[in-house]
Amino acid sequence: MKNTPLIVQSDGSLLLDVHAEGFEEARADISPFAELEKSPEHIHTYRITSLSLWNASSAGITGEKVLHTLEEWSRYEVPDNISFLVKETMARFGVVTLVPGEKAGVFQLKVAEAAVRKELEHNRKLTAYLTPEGDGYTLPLIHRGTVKQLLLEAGYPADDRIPLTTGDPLSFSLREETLQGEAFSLRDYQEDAVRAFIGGGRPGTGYGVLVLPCGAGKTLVGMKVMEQLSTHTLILATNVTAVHQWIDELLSRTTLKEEEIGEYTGSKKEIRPVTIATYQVLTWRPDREGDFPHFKIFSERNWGLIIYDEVHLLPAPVFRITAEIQGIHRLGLTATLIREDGKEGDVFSLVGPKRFDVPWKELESKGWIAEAYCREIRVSLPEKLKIAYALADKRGKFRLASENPLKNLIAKHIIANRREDSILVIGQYLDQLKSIAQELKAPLITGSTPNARREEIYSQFRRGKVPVLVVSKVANYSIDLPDASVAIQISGTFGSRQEEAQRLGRILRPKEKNSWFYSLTTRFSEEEHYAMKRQQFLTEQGYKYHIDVWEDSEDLEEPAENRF
Amino acid sequence: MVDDPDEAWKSSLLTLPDQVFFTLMRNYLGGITTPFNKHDLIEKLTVFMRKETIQERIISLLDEKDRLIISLVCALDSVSRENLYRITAHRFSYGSFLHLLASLQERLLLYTWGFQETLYVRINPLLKQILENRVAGFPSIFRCRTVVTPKSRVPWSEGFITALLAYVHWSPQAFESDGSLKKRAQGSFETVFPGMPGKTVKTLMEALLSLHLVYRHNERFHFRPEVYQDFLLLPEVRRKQLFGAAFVFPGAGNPDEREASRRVYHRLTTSFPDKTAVHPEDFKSYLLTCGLFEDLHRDMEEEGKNLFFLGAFQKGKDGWVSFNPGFREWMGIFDQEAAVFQANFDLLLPEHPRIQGLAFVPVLFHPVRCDRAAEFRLDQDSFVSFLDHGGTAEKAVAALSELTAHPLPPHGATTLRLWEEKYRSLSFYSGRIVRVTTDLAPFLDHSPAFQALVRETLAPGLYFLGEVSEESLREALKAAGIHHPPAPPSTVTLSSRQMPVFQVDTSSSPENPLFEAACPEIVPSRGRPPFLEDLKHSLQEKKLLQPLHKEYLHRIKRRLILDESQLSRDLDAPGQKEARGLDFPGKLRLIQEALNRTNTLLEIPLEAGSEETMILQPLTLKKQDNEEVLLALILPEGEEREFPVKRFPRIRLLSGYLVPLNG
Repeated sequence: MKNTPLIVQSDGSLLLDVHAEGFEEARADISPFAELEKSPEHIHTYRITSLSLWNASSAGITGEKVLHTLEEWSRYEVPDNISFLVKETMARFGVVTLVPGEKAGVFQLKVAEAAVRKELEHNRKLTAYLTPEGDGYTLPLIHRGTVKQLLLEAGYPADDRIPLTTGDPLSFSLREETLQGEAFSLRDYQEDAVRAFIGGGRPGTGYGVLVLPCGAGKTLVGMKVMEQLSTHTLILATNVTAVHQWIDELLSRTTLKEEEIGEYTGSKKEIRPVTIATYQVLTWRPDREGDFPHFKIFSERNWGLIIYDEVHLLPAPVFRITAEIQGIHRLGLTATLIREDGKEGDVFSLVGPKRFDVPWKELESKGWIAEAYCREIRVSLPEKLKIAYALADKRGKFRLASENPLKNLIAKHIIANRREDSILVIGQYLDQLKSIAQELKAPLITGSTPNARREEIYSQFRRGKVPVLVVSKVANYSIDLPDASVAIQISGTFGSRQEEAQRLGRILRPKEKNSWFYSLTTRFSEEEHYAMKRQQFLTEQGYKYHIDVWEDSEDLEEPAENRF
Repeated sequence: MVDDPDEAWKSSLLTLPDQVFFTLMRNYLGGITTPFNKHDLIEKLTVFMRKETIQERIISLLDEKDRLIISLVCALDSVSRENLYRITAHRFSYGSFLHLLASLQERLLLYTWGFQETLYVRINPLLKQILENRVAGFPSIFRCRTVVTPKSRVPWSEGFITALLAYVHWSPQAFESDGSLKKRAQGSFETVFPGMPGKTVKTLMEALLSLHLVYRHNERFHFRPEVYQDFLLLPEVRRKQLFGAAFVFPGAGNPDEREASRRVYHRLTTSFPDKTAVHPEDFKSYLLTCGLFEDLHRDMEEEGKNLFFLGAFQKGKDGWVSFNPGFREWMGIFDQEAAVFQANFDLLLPEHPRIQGLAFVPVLFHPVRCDRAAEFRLDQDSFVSFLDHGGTAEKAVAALSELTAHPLPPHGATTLRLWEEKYRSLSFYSGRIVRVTTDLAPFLDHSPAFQALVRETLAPGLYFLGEVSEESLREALKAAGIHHPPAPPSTVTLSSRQMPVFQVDTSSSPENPLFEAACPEIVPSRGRPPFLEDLKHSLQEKKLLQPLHKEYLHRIKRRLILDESQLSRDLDAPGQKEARGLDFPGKLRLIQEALNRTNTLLEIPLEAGSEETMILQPLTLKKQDNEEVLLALILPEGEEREFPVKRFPRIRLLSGYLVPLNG
């Protein structure tokens, strides 16, 4: 047994001991061919899968290198079946290659082994898109993504040697300081992320997903990629606020001019060299059966890069069009690659593989994101609601527990103790949010809040004029609130781990003080049961929770000093 | 049995039939002058055999077969003739074996000794030292060759045992009543134990059963945490021995067999030399030499197989068997590492985890995956099960604190305590409910004896009592003035199980292995020893009569002549041993001779012209339809059959040249 940090298990999972010598080097060495699954405080779990090995192959990493890395860092002998898996799996990459055809818009699929060719011949789903020619096949450009996906399912990932199209040129650069005069530059992990994506321009690079914690500066990474590729770029974002945030950032941090940036949303339809659209507008259609009229945006310009912000939210219809634009650089950005519909695999195969991932706690330890303390406060259900709760169905129980009126009182106590902080109160249910906003005399932002009003409130919050902001789940994503240091979650969407992580992300932007995340749950209720599931992602990122039980919550009085 | 080996050897000579005794003496001592005294002759023989030159010559005349038998007898000390044959059955036919034994006896290397109807084979004590130093050894017995054996991983670790017990605890429905895995459970088993062959499961379960770590009730298996706790108190090497022995000999857990199993298992796993691979057939012999047949009477095939599963031995591509050096490491004691308990309630056990707190793991945690490291997960379900088994949050926290190196995550202890609080908000009691009419209620309400039994008064005249015996209830009612109450329904009390206790063994030295683990340097003789030529030359010079000359040449060939002093004119030629063809009287004479002597055997060919033979123990000779018919037992099988004598193409008296085979 060696004193090294890695344990290789027979099922392909890799356990990395963060306290062992060589941990950081080992992590750097295994990241190119293993997926990070979870990174709690002591042991991180990675996994070798066929997909991760094929992605490594496409980046030029050999099976020998993978095995050598495993053997070098493994504490125990590498299981024989893993050695076999690595060799056998990586050998499959390159059996099928995709190369430019003789005619424009047509590609050639070459199959190196006769046995594989025979096997693929019988794959009807696949051959529906292929035309036999010689020893291989041809296929039109439009089916490139679909064919690649089907080949992946068949166990023969295509070595895509077709160079990505460059798109129309767009030259600009990142500034050295923002328009507001604040100096900035890319941090080392951001540079690493960009490098991992660009990959030296080799075939098999230039498309994929970068996973960075909330507050880690994904937008800046996106902009750097844009600068490097210097091409017309389409950016897809989650909502109008996020669109505006992108526009503001681009204008502030790059030399792009206003007339070069377009907004494509419900209210505006500007298509410019850099265009930012919402997923929502893209997936709009006048009726259920009709086409998506705004998909035409993909063909309006000769895009060289498409950025999918919060790629984990990529709507299902957009997958189809993504399959068709395989020839373009594609960048997915997210903090939490968890989809409740389980379609992470589709994201990887259509947008691209995960190129970069870094544990949240690592960035926290280096000061790149705020250090956050998580607390769960458990409060009893008032007596007067217990009968209603007992009689309700499961959904009803969850709602009653979530909207526990005692939570308002708890929230007030927390706020009273956080006089120096700027606080977000986040919830799921509008009635509850209205009630608390009223009690706190705080502004409320929901989906129905007009964008202009939203921007105005956000601006006031940033400037400190509004110390407490009550928000519905529209604020889960893409709000840039640099000075929010406390978030109080009073209700959430059942067991959504993603939502928990995104909400924590609202307070992770680096600042001079620590951040606090409070989650209020009702004891002995359905909500308590879901709370643990929600917290799972964060604990797997190494965050620890403190749990406080506020006994006799019903006897609590209003806080003495109410800043409202 | 005579304990002193020298005395035993002398006794064995004295009990030889006179003719045999004197034939032997004349062969080794030359002419015997009268008056003669058997004890004196034996002393003279002893002097002769103690001579260094004689001993060297004896050694130089040994061939491979001799060395095999001698090595076995040296190693096994007193071994019965039958068991000796069992070990060598794959090398010799029964007849050849008997011939070889006889040859070694008449060359005074071995002697046989009868005790309680069993014939034992022993080394001549006069030659024991030189034979042990120069002849006996592992390579003499087992066909082996030097190999560089790669170290392979032994999958059985403390973490593995913990994970297996956890799996039994959480998935008892996965097992058939005999301990094998149900088909539908194979997938889930492989998920938790990747790379573990499903066919080992039954053997593993038998091992756990035999160690009482699980028990079977109503065809389901149940984990016994209290026994596991005791098990963990044993020193690590003893735990491994017990587990290994239980795995290989599923009866090892039974108190009667436990020590024997452990001893045999210890021999098996410490006596095989390093860097050596053994012929697969000889490996079976090796298992027998380790005492399987003496101590445990086990099925050799099964135990051999389990030793491979255990990881102690490994087979090369050609089937030759070597010892896994990794197994010696496994048997050694390692520093125990701390486990890791994380904020997401995952537990990771290293290969050699700390013992403190480990006993709780199978009940407190679900097993997730057991491989190089064993991974577990705690959730509310598993914690409730732990509480059901009498655990508490504080016990769990204490166990985790002992088991792990890092402080528990802050919400960890709180979560467990809150779960316990929730758990204990609902209680079940078993007991009796007593209801009386309102007119009787005051008697009970004011009766101290009765009130002492009452847990709770549910309503006027309705009382909940804890578990009270019928007798004490009657007494209390009587004291309250209620005589002759109806018989209360009987309550079923759970019988407490007798929990086996593993004796905490403080002895530290293992038994001596059967062989030294390092193979001694043995240099077999090569070519004809020079003294044989000198003997022949001496024989030539004596100018003996032809029959005598021929007889001595024959004896030299049979390695019975070691020194010129043995060449004497006074020699008994042994009698006829064989009759063939038309020599019907000769055949009858041999049969009669065999019948007259106890345990004398006959050898006949299987078919005319065939080299293969059959060994018969004659029982009776009778006339049947004017034909002489021999009723005999076919050995070693023991099948009784009748043989017409005239049909024997050849019949041979099975004995040594000088000594009969019955010793």
